[in-house]
Amino acid sequence: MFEALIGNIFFQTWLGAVCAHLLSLYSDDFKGTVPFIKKLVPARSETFYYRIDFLILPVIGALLAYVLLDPTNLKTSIFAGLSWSGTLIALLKRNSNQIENTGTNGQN
Amino acid sequence: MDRINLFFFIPIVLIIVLLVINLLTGKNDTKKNPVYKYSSLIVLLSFITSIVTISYYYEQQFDSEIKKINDLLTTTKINDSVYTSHENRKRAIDSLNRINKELEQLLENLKTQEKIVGKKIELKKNIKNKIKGNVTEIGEIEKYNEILDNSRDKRKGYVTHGETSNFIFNCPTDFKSDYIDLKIRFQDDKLINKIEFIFVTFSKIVTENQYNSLSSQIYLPQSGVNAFKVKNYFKEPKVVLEIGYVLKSDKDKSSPNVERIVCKN
Repeated sequence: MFEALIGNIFFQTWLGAVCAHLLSLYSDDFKGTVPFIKKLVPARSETFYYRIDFLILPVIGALLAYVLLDPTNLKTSIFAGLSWSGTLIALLKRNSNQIENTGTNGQN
Repeated sequence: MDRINLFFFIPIVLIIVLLVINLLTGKNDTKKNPVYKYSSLIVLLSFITSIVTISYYYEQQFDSEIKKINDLLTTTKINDSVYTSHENRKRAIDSLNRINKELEQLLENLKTQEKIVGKKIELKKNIKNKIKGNVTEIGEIEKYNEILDNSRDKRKGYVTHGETSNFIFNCPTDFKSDYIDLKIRFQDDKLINKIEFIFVTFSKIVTENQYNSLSSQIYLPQSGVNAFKVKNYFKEPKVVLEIGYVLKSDKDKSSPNVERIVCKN
């Protein structure tokens, strides 16, 4: 079963996306989907947002990579997951900064 | 499990472990815990390295096997001459069985390689078709009666009472092909167990009473249709074909009683 799972292209893409997400943790100002989730589901613990973000972001990245890049083997699927998740992280970083700035300006 | 696969599985397991740790703790430890920071970085790097290495390894393996697969897929159809001797027939069946065994092994390897090098649906389909084709060819060879060693035929002459009606046989009308199919069917299948061998002989008519033997082969009888693929001596003029059988009760006689049908071109 484990071997069948490893041979699955979507699983491989998802692994690539997980790697990208793990690498994103090294960035100080990256908050992932947390600002969005906070708006959707307010008043929850930071642990809750962290966990949801950790589950959602790699899945979205893997889905985008799987659908748009249509990887066919291990190497292409892992790197498709890594690159699309990376792109998504870059986009989210900009948007979450904007959301935070809007929030701060609003408070002021 | 191969060592090369372990080289790949261990980093995957470690990535999943990192994921579980993150979900359980629910916080980002990369900045606070230096041990975690560097160990997760090492895991990520080893994962990417293992992906590149294992992909290269399996791509090399696949490239070397694809040549072998193409060679086996392009093996030509067996020649008609395999039906004319017991050795050729046995050799052809053994060769087809060996090719099928190799193809099955390569198909099995391909299933493992697919996980790394990607799906090879068309290639797998071609291999499966070739295996099926070979099985059909084996069946085709085996449907013909088994060729016996001519030393079992101890006849020095024979006694006959005209043409037999114990089996149905239509004289061949193809005088052009290199090989022809001869088929006989016994009226009573119970007779088959009593038959020592079926013979097929071709002779050239020299004069009215003088014949030169062109070929003679004996076969093991089988139930249902008895089929023989033989070289077509009817391409030459003035040739006689005799097809008949000798009973087990007459097998040691130097002049046994034979039941036969004679054809001339």
